[in-house]
Amino acid sequence: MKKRFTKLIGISLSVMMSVTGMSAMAVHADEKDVTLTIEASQEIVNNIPYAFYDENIAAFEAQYPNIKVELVLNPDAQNTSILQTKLASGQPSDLICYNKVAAENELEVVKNCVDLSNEAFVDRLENKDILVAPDGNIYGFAYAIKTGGMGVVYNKTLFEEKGLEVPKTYDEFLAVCEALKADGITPFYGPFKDVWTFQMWTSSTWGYYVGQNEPDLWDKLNANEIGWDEIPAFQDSLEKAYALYEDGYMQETVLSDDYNSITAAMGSGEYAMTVGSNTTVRDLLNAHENIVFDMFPYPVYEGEDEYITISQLDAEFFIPKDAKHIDEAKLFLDFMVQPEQADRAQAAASFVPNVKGAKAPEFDDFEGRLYEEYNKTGKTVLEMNAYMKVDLNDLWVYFQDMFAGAKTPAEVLSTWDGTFEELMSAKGFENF
Amino acid sequence: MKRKVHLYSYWLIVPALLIFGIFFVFPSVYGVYYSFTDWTIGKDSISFVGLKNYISILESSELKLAIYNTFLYAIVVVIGKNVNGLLLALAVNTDLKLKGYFRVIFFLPCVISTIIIGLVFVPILHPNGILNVFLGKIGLGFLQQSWLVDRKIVMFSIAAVSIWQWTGYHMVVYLAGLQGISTSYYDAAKIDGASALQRFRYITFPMLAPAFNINMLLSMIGGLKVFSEPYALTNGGPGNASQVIALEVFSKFGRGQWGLGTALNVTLTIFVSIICVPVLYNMRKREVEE
Amino acid sequence: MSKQKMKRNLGKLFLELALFLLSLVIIVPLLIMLFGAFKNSTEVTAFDLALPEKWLFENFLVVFEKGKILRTFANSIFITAVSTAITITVSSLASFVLARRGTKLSRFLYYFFFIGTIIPMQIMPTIRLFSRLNIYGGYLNVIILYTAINIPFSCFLYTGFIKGIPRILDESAFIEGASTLQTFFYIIFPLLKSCNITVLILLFTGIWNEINIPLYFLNNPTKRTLPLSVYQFFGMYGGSNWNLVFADLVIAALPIIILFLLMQKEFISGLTEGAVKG
Repeated sequence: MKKRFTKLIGISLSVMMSVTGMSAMAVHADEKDVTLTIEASQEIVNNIPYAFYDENIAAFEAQYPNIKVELVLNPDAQNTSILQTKLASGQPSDLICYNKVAAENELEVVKNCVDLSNEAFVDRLENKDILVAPDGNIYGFAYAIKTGGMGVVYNKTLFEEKGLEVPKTYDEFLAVCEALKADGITPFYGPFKDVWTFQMWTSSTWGYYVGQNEPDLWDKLNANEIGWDEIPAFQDSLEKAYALYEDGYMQETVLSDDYNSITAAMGSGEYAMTVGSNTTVRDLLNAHENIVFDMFPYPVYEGEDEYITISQLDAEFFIPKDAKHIDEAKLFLDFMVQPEQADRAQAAASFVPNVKGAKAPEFDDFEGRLYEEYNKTGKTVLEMNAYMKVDLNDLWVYFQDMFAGAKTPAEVLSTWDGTFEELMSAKGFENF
Repeated sequence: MKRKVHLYSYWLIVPALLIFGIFFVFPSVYGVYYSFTDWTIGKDSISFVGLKNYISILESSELKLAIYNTFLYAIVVVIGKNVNGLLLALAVNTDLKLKGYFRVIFFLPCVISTIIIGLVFVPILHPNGILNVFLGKIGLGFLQQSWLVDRKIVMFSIAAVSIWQWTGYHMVVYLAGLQGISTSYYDAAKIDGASALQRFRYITFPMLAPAFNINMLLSMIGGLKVFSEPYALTNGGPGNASQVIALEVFSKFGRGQWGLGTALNVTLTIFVSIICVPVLYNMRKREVEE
Repeated sequence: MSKQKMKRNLGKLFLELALFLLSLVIIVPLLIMLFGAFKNSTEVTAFDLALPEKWLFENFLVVFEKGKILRTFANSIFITAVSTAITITVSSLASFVLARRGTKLSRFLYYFFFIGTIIPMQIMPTIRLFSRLNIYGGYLNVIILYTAINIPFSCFLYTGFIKGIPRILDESAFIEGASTLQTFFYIIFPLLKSCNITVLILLFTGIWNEINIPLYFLNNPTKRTLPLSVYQFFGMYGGSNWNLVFADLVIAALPIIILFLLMQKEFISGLTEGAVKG
């Protein structure tokens, strides 16, 4: 009897010890070889493959054999929350990859991350201005100088079959929609189950409107000199989008379909256009070999057809102040800002490198055209989100309310105006 | 007895108490402090703001909707899981040929992650999904709905998925209660000429009280603390139509509004405690009286 | 055969049929997932009950490779098994006293534990605590956390169950000179078999399926658990390859389904005996 009892105690003790032993081993291994962790969302790794190219990471590990790089990928919906929580509790990863302006607003990089302005790699940058944060310092590095763009993604093959031209004005756009609808094709696919998809429409069109007509409007909004509901052009763009849905130019199930479903929907030939960016087009081209997809600017306002929208700088790497391996993280960035690395990463996806002496990208037909036609000639406008200082998620939720019939376009703007004030005042901005 | 040692020494509780107390209760209680502060991600320092966060919960129409949805959801799932669970238990307690199969199948969804269940049900509940197609085919087209989009029914759809998943669990607990009832009661009642309905009303129902209490308690706590189901199915959408308290806590945290998020968490705890602790207390009291 | 008996048999047949149809409501969604896992990427987008044109077992190979399934599977088993073992040990011990003592203190402790099923975890103070103790980020802090979170409900079940065991058993052992621990391990614990299985299954499924704690409390991707791959695959293939998403869902759910099917008899009887007496 006694024997069995000792055995039991022995088993439970050994279980406990193996637990502590294993974790002790893990800690020990960490001390011997540095594990450099890079944390990012699933989405950013999928969309910006050149920033996470296996062979670049392998080259870094080959040069620094005592450092091992591990990617910590978060589910998209939880990424911000996880990053914020880890930053606030002093346990961040060694490098964080996040979009530039969003990082300034949502992760407070100025407060939470290491100032890299005086690092050696800064001098090797092709254009360091684009990395400067509002306080004048540089907190990170992004591989690419932003190119590409956002607009209406469309099935070019289908357009050609039906003899349709790319619309340049809103009236032409409606005429194209009507022709498609008469042919039994749903003109516009709205993937608005995800809260962030419809905002590509507003961030682009509002961005164009302000950039071309009232360049100081963003400053005025951020200084509370004007309200969001006092700008008729904003409401106009929302009403035009909602009218597409109301008039049956979008599928009825806009709130049931998510961004992921674009691939299947646009490949089916039942839909002709949707919202998206050059990444969307690239994914579509990869998924459907026999169909040509392309993009044109939103035709909401007069003259908008000549300008493609570019988004804020994406996939910038930051080093949190509380990171365990700041020096190794700096080594990593220093290593990546070299022409050889930028050139190698072109194999993952073409991009315009922000490194002096790196070779120019070889774009495919689609991205080459975008680059030549818009990026090179400066026919671009910066999206609205790049000018904002608060989290825009609430606004995006109100957009969904609009499609669910719970808010009119005017109500969306007036409700957002109230929320915006609260968010700005919570962040301590003047005049709010 | 000679020995001073008590047979039921409190030392046996110590390991559980320490782990639970230090790693769960302590941080949770410590966190309550933040609910009285203006802690947000942009702030350099945290300052005490009293009840401000709690007041703003009461003032926000968005959060009030989340509270309303939470209670609506809890009531629907408590009724749905218990009624269905009891009916199923009564049915599989008879000597059916397939009763073993039924018990296993109805319980099966409980062991699967709600996130997985959600990913499977989103396409099923799509307006063009298999459920609506099926309804159309059997001539019930008028029942077709935008299950997860229509603001009026989205909470009920989410509750239905949860009932789908958890009814088997409650069935098993009721089954336990039923099997604890001695057949001699029924035999005696039959001799007295009681009808099946009377037998249920005067024997089964009162004897099931313990199982009933447990099921009410568990489904109520689960219903009020609901998170995974709306998270996986709608993420609170469309708009804010299917927001619940725990999901709002999550989204407040995701936007760095930690003070407000914690206050909301504390509010939820108070709601659950007010409703569930008296139920538990009554259960225990009745036991002592027995 | 009497008329009445025939009527009853007919009724039973009808009931059996009705329940069978009802069981389809449970089975159909699971079959959609299972069949979907074997389809090609176009077929699967119908999300229907059609059988795959060709059973593509290679979908699972892709998932195994891309999802590092073996590694995450080992992590899941390790974390789940150790947390479950510790929780069962400490909870059953504590419940022995909670069930037997009738004092104010023990009643207070019972409620104190029960409150744990109600209050939500506060992530940030917990991370800070683990950082202070220098165990943040590894397996250990996740195991401790799972144990702490699951003690309340386990105690609730064990206390109810132990109350159903006659006191006279432990008292006679005690009089014969057994210590408290001996009494517990030799007299009580063997009688807890079905309750142990119930708690085991509930803990195992609960911990296995939990996906938030590893996201916040494991700082190295090589330590992550199997169900997290669900997010990964939905993010990577939710657009183009739902078949791979389904294959991953099947892989993530299968271990726990198998465990349940192996132990379902004891499990259901354990739950029925224990839960009601709580």
